[in-house]
Amino acid sequence: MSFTLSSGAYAGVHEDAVNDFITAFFQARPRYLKWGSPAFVSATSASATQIPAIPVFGIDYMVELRRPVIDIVPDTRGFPLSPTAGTFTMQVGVTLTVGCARKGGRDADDGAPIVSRTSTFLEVYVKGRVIRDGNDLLLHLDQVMLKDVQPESLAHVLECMMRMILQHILDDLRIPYTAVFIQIGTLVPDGGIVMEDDRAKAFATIV
Amino acid sequence: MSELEIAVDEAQAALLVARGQSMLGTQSRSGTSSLGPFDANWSASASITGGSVDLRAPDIIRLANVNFNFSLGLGLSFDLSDILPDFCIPQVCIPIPFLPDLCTPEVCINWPTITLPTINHSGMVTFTSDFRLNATADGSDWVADIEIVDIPNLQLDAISTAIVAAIMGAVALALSTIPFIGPFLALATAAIGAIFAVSAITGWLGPILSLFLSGLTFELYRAPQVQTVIPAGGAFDPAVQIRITSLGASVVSSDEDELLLAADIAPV
Repeated sequence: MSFTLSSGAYAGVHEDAVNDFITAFFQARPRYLKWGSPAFVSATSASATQIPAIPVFGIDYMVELRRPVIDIVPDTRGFPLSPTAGTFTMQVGVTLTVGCARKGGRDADDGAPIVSRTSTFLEVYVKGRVIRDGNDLLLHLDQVMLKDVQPESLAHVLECMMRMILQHILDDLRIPYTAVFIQIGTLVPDGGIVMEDDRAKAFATIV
Repeated sequence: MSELEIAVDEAQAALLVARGQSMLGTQSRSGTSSLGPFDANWSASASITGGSVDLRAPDIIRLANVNFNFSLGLGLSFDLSDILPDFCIPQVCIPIPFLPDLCTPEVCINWPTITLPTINHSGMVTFTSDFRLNATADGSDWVADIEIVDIPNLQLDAISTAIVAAIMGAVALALSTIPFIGPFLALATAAIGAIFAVSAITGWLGPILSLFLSGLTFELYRAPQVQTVIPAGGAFDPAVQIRITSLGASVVSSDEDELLLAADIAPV
């Protein structure tokens, strides 16, 4: 069977290349790996992104990611959440930290609440698809699984939070069509993205 | 297996070839080469357009019925004495009694050098040839191109016939201005016509046009080794770049013949 099928041009991006893209993204923009409220990140910089504390309760928190690794169907990396037809699985380590203030406790010098850091590390597995949005490719997350979190209802709460947090972060990882076609010409994207054979397959017509 | 595979079908490959032809544009050359016993100065320009693409595994693109458009300027001068013998009409004296002999002067004819006005001819021939795919690093770029494998045999007789006609027209005009040529005109025309035969012009023109085909290369793809995947997005978001660490080019056959570029990449 031909590469291009019914299109004129085809680009197949192996999962190793996707992971190279992801590595390049987070190397260039490490602030996407570290998100923290003012107690943890005093201002957005190249290395960290400031986000608001949870209002009312005044909870400061921080989300730190390890570089994600993607496995496009078929399963070659043995993640607990395997990619199924048309999907990829992503593994990402997430450290959640909260600033834990003692109620009524005050620092002896300036009267500020005494805050200690409390962290947990979560091994997060995400199933998703590469979708086309205009002339860009995006990672769309469908399902999140946390390993070894009990009770199950707590796992579901954290999985929901993780899916929303990761999707927000990955929404900025938009890979232009021209990049996967290594700038071979002026492209008109054709159809959606096919995930199979460890590759994300894109189709286009060169004009 | 490469990290990135980019394939195009024959129709899209034809588009890349056409762009390569367009980028090459019109090439010009000039020189002097022998035409029969004479040296001819020439200048020529040529462009290559069109042709149908036939992809042939593992690395050949055959271009059929390619248009080879050319313009030729031919500057020619020759010594007519090389064609017609110089001669002298000897002095003839008639003895006259009681008076000096009455003598005619000796008249020598030295045929002049004829310089023809520049003969211009534009034409087009078609050819079919195989081109081989190459992928190489060129400075900070990756380049995929196709280079002609063998120089085709051009069918030039019709063009040569037209050039001969132009030459002989210019020769006739030049001869008509030469004193004493009258009795020798037919001889001169025949001798010059024999020198500038169609086969001679074809033999002269072929190597000139072949200069444009020798090493003929069309660039199909050129891109920097370091590519910006995502442009800079603000003070804290610099451009995201990747490096193409290798590039290969080939033709693959399945139910369709396709041109395949295969690349490996790495984060910058």
